[in-house]
Amino acid sequence: MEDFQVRLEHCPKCHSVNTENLVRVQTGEPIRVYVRCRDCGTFVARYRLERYTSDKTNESLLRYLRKHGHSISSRIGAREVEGFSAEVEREFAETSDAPHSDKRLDELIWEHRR
Amino acid sequence: MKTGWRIFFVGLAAGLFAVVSFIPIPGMELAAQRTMGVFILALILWVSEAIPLYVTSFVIAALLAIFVPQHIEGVDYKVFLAPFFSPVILLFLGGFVLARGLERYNLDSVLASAILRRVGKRPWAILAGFMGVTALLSMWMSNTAATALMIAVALPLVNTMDREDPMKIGMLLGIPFAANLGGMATPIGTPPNAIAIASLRDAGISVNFLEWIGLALPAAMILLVVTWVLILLLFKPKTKELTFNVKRKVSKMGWKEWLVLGTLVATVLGWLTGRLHKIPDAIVSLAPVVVFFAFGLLGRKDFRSLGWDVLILMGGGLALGRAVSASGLDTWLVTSLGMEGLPPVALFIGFTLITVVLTNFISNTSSAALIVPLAMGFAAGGNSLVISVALAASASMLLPVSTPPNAIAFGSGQLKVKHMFRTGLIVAVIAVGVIMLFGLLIWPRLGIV
Repeated sequence: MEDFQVRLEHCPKCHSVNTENLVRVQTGEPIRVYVRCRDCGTFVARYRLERYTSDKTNESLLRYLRKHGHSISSRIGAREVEGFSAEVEREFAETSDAPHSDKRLDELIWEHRR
Repeated sequence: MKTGWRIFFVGLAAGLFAVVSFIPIPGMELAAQRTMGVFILALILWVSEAIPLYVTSFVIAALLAIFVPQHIEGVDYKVFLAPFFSPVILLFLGGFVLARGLERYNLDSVLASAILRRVGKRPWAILAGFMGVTALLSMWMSNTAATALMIAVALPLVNTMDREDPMKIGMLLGIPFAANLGGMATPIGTPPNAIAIASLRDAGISVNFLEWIGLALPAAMILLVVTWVLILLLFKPKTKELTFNVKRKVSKMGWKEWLVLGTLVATVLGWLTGRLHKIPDAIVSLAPVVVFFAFGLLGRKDFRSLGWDVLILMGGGLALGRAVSASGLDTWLVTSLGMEGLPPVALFIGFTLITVVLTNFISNTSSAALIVPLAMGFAAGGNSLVISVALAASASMLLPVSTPPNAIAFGSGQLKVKHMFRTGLIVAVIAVGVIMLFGLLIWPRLGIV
């Protein structure tokens, strides 16, 4: 089994890969992302967000550290801060270039469970 | 860390623990010997971070409970577990909850913008504003969170400054340094302070919230002003004025926001007036915990994500300190190393220097957890020595790895290590001097310690 696998979401109805993400933010509730097919409007998937990183990666990290500023290891903190933006960019490039798996998402999640 | 190195350090720690604990050392009581074994294990694991810092605390508790009590009369294993829920742990828990409330309802951001909007356009005033606000916030919330907030506010300004303007660097250095220094001022500002208070309490010396502020705030303020002047001298601003527009942060002040603010004020007042109402600081700390969670201001997810790992790390340090004193290891070290006759000045120089060096390479809390128990054994230094060690543990300004606030500022990509090292070294040297001045001359005269 490879270190990681990538799956491209597609519409269960029309099989289009032209999807859009609707980010739902509600007070007192976790942030949820609803994936919708742009071609036929069908519900594709829903994700619950643990941590959000925008294209302004440093800003996102600062917002995260403001809330979870209990990092007690300065060494890990330094690595995380310095490398965060680079890590996001590297992983984005890696994910963009990876071939797409045909497996169902729940299969992939099961395979890569800890 | 690579697995090979992890195994190496864990093996080294375990091996040295076994050797030191079980090979007879003439003239040393078994309890002290076992404790020294645990101390060396803790030192290796905390410095190397081969396992998470808080896990080392659990290892400490287990080893002390198994190997020490049978050699000390009247002590059972619970003595080494009790520190994990001692009054200072509760004090810190209350602090964490308050800080989470401030962040959740954006009140920290509102306070920061309210002050910064009034500092004017002069670079020296803007720097003073940033450093002052950061220090003020870090007295009540984690240094890391205060830095993350203020760096986010500062970056838009820094990014508009001329690339060659040294004040860019000055601004980015001033914030983490102010966070480290501000944290010295209150018991909840940073864990080393709480470790010192708990260790003194174990020795029968009580230092309450207000008394700690009376001891530490003047030293912290002097260092803050000195650091501000130093930064202005080393990174002279190129321009006379900066265009700095702080967005007015308005928090919709509904009942929740007012309740957070009210609880904050009540809790702080409760801490400051402990002598009047006689309710212990730790019990006052329960107020925000009860109010915020009972009224739904914070939820289960917030509760789970509080700094429990920090509290466990502190507990391990306190347990180790208790063992060092209960087993007589501190006395043994003093007598066997021939340090009984050492003058207080030498003790202060030695302990503050060792702490400042150590804290720049390992976590502030771990440094205090290791050095405070040893300082407690040196009666010649008085109780001021313990407080000096706690403050010195916050003087971690040299490197990005020294402390998370430094790492955050460095992560902006606009600082070089040499900027931080040069400025941080001067601040650290001055900090040693100021702490010694207070420790040797001023605190003993205040009659608190």
